[in-house]
Amino acid sequence: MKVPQCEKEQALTETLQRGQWPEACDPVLRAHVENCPVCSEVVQVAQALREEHASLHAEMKLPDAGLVWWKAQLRARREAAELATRPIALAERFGLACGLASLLAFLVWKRAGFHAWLDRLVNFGHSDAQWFRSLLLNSWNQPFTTLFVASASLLVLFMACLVYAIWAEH
Amino acid sequence: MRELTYSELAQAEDALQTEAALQMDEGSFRALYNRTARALWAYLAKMTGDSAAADDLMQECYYRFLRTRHAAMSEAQAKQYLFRTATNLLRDRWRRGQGKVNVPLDELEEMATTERTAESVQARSDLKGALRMLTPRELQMLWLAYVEGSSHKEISDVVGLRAASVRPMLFRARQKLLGILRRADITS
Repeated sequence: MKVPQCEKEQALTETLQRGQWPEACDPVLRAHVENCPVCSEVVQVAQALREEHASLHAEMKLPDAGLVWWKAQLRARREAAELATRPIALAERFGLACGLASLLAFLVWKRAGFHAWLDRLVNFGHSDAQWFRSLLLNSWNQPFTTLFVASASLLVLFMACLVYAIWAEH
Repeated sequence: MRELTYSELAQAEDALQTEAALQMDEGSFRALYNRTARALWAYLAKMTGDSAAADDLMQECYYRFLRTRHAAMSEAQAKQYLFRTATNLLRDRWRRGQGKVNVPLDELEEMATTERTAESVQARSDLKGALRMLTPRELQMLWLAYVEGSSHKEISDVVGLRAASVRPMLFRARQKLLGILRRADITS
């Protein structure tokens, strides 16, 4: 398809771009546009688009440059932090996998003892229940000092855990 | 995820110094932003028809620009880079189906042509309606040529076409818009 061209099209586009059309433009160019179909089309289309552009400008609420800068900087830092902590996350996953593999290996190694323990757990029968029940009931019949020592021991253990948790937090 | 230890934080901080550095100081950025943001926002707002989306895409354009090593770029090249990024982001957005129907861009453009020209021009006898009857690529090319004053070479760079294809495509887009405007009796 042959595209009609005009040598003045570029000059006309620049004039339109500078906002000099039609009053402030070269009279020769204005006279040319009246007789040139290509240039008159350019003027009509450009004027329609620039009208739309002006209406957009009227409703434009540009974000502040500082806000755009701040958001960009924040995102850059976040992405860099993600990049920097990626090896740590990988090491954590590797450690977890090693731990699970070790546990599995231990279970395989101690398979015989594990089977015995499981059997005892499955066959947890009436006699075991009786023994556990009597243990609980007897604990109430213990002298007061035994209960006091047991409670104090638990409290000390709990306090130690709490102190450790606070220390680790700081 | 667990909390980081001091040594890990220090290591991360070192990495931040090198990785997170934006490639421009804030003063230079403000100056560039003040000269380019209005044009870029208008382009994005026209193409998306959604000012909130235009804000988001503009933020993304400047972010990508700031992460690029652009020390050797002139202001015209920086503007060109921003418009090219914006056009790529718009294309991705359309491909994801945001703001438009979820079809490939080529099909989308074809649909836009056939469906929209079949609609009554009279019903869309305003300028905004007339511009909506163009395909995204036609509108991009016309906008860059007649609002931004871009050369054919610059348009080809922004839109991702061969420079030789720009002239005939721009001509066809211009003819199409003129036809719509004339039918709707909008031309002055």
